[in-house]
Formats: sequence, C-alpha cells, structure tokens
Amino acid sequence: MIDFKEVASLQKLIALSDDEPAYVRLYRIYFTPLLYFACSFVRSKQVAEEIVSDVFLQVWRHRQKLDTIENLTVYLYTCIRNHSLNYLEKQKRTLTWLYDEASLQLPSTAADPEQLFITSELMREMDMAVQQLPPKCRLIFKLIREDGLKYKEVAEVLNISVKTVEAQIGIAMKKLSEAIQPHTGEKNRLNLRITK
Amino acid sequence: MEQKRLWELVGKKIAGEADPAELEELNRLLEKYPDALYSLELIGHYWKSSKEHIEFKEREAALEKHMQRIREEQSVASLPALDEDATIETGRSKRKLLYRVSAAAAVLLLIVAGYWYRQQPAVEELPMKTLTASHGSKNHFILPDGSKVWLNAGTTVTYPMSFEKDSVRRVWLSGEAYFEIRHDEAHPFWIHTPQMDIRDLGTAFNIKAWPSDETAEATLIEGAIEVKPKHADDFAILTKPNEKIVVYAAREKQVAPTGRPDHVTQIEVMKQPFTISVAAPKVGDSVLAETAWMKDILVFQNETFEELAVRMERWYDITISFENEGLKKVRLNGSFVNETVEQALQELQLIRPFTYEIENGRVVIK
Repeated sequence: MIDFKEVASLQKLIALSDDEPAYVRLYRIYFTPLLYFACSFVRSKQVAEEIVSDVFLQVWRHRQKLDTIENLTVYLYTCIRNHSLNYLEKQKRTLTWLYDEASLQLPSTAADPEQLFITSELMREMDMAVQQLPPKCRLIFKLIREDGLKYKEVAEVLNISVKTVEAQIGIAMKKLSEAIQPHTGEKNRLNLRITK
Repeated sequence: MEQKRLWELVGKKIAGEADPAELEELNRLLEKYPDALYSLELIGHYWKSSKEHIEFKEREAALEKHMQRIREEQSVASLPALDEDATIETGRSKRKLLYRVSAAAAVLLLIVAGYWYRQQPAVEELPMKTLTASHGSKNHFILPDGSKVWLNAGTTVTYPMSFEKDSVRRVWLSGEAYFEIRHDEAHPFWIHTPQMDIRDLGTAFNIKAWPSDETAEATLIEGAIEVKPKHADDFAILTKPNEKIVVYAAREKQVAPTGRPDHVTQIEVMKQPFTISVAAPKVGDSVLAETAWMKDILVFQNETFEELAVRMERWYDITISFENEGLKKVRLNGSFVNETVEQALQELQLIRPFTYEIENGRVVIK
C-alpha cells in the first residue's frame, strides 16, 4: 500500500533540494505497483521495467516542478499507461492483451485465520475467485485493494468513468460472495464458526 | 437491478468509498437480502488481510540500473558546458579544450563500454556435460542445483558441470524436455534453444524445441516463465499457468535476384513472432497433450502424417519413408499409449487407409 503522506513530503524534498535519497525512496515506493501496472499492458516484465525507468527519468528531469503535481499517484499511473500504449502501438500489437497480464498474481492472503474467525480455506477460495475475475475487473480490484487508489483515481488513470469502477467492484464483490457461499448444510457449520 | 446495486454498495463500503446516504441505502438493502451480510463480513476481512506487495530483489537491481541511467545522462549533459567555453577561448587554448573534450568523451566511452560489458552474458569456459535420451527411450535426471529434467526421446541437454561459477544457471536444449526448476532469485535459470530462450521464474514447464522444426513451444504447468523468441528479442513474453507459447523461427527466404547473379539469403522475421494459446484440452483424466509424453503417451493433434512420422521415428527408434507423397499431408488426430510400432501403424490405417512394409526398423508407407 502506498503511503501517500510520505509521497507528498518526498515530492517537496526532491523539488526543493534535488534530494537524491528522497528520489530513491520514491522509486522504491512506486516500483512494484507500477511494474505490475505496466505489465498488465505490455505483458513483459523486461519492457515494463524499462517503461517504469523511462517514467522515473522524466520525474528526475522535471524534478523542480515535482511539487506542483497535485496527485503524483495519478500522474505516475497515467504516464505508465501512456508509455505502455505507445510501446504497444510501436510494436503494432493489438490491445487484445490489455489487462490480461501474467504477472498480476495477487499475493495470497497471509492472515491468521484463527484471529479472523475465517478458515484459511475460505481465504483461499476468495484468492482463487479474485484470480478468476475478468482481467479488467481484476486490475481494478488490485489497484483499489492493494495499491490503495481511490475510485476516482482509478477512473482517471484508466480513462473510464467512476460508474464503471463502481460496477466492476460490484461484480468482484458478487463473485467473491458466490465463491464463499457455503453449500446448504455446510452453511450452519460456517456460521457457527464465524459467530463463536 | 437492485442486487447489482447491493454489490456496488458492498464494494463501496469495504473500499471506504461510501458516503452516509449510501451506507443508509446499503443497510436498507441488507434488511432485504440478509445473506449478503455474511459475505460483507468475510470479504471485509479478506480485503484488509493482505495488502503487501511481494517485494522483489529485482526492485533493487532495477533501481541500480535506473540510477546508472541518470548518472549517464548527467555526464552527457555536462559535455555541452565545455562547448560553451569554446566560443570564448581561442588559439592554443582551443587545442587544450579539444583534449578536454576528447578526454571527457573517452571517460564516457569507458563508462558506457563498462556498462555494456556488464550487460553481456559472461562467456564462460566451464567444463560442460551433455545428457541425451536416444531414440526409443526417455531419460530423467537431476541437475547440479537440484532441478529436475525429463527428456523425451532424441533430446539433448547440455549444462555446465557446476552452476556455482556463474550467477546465472544456463542449460542448452535441443528437443523436448519437461523442467521442474528449483527457483533461486539470485541465480536465474535460463534455457537456451535454437528458436527461443526461456527464463524460469519459479516453475514447472514443458519445452519443445526441435532444431528442425519451424515452431517451438513452451507450455507452462506451474509458476511463471519468460519466453524470448530468438528472432524478435524485443519480446519477452510472460506466461501464466496452462498457457502455451508457440514461437515461430525466422524463415530463411530466398530472395529472387534482380540483375545480380548471386542469390541473397535473407532472414525474414515473421510479423507475429509468437502466439499464445491455452494448453491443449486434456487427454483422458488429467494429462495435458503437451506433457503426455512423460506418461508414455504419444499424442498427436491435427498433425500431418509427415510430422507424426518424424515423432514416431524418435519415439520408436525407427525410420519412416513415404512412397506415397499424397499421404504426407494427411492430418491426423489420436494417441498411442502402449502400442507397438505395428499396432500404431494399424491404428493409423483405420483413420486413413494405406499399406506399409516394415523390416529391421525401416518402415515404408505406400
């Protein structure tokens, strides 16, 4: 999860004093989520890494103006998206793989099931349900749950409407709910477990 | 419609996007659909349970590479500054400037060369070992790092006696093999074939790369691999389980000479250097066509008789020749499990009538 407060203070440091350690910190914060995001378009980790590097090079070149960017997260994700689409265009590749990426494997849940009163089996089932979401839906789910983006930010970054984001998350909720719907008979057992 | 709204609101609540009016609306809907309360609770826990990204060692490597780029750019940017000086200085000092510029250029060249050198795969002179599964047999062994390899008939794998001397583990494959790689982020595992290179990212997968074939295939069973076609090295295809990547080898194309007597051979790089598909449907219970060979099943799907004949030659350690050219292009589907050569040929006769002669492992299709 991106720490947006820290990001804001890093932006200032970099803009005002060319602070290289702050820049390195910024890179570390965004590298993995941006890599995944770029990967979801270009489907190659190597290319995605180059795109992240290109975008961060831009950030360094324009560092003096960095504190004028209001929402750096949206800015960076949008840059990554544009770079990725440009790359695909250059490659004359169709966008059939858009959002259909290999690397976007969500980390499986590492929570303590006892503490949550949920069986690890249920958590696994939800993990699996997420993996089986349609690619676009899964990407939106990941951007919100893992990267911590707001609905509005996702809409901006992906150039879709907030209504679409709402609907897609709604679909994800429905699918997750179906995945954990106990079969009749099992239901009581599970309910007991939750309420104990 | 109402249910759709219900799930949208559940999502908004869990994501912390719902305003008071929407929370009110959700509560009203939940009274109507009390079952959703159960989901809301569980999904809410799930949502909060793990939000950490997997951190890559790769991140640090990427960062180092990126900072190198920035430093290079800065050293290039400092060169024009010298140029500006040149307009002021004259005569002898101009030569001095030339020295300074060329010295700077030389340093830059060294930096770039050093960087370039570091990017190149190390050319190692390690003692190599070769393992083969001869025609009519299969082989299975364990590499020095504990990774497992199964070889189909007629396949060769070459690898260094020790993986320890290099930070990268490399093997060279000619033929078809199934790999279960012991993943080690610090020591990436590369498989080099005539048509493509494959990098393991924690994995079990099947590689089919016969030197004589126009295509090569990588089928991922578990984990992740990156496939780089040899003739389109811009591409590095990340693969997910049950996906099959088919790489087309660049075709050598004879270009008709125009006014010149000599033939010019051109490598024609295919426009689409690869395709991605889902691994072929299952044969029987749980056997993928791609890995059926490991279970001693020879599966053929929409293959020409000619292609199948090449595989049967390796499988049964026989030679097959065609007297009837027309049969070569016939497409066949099926599988052999425990069949002898003769049984296999008899089964093929049922699909498409033909006669054959067999003598000392030589089959002639008539």
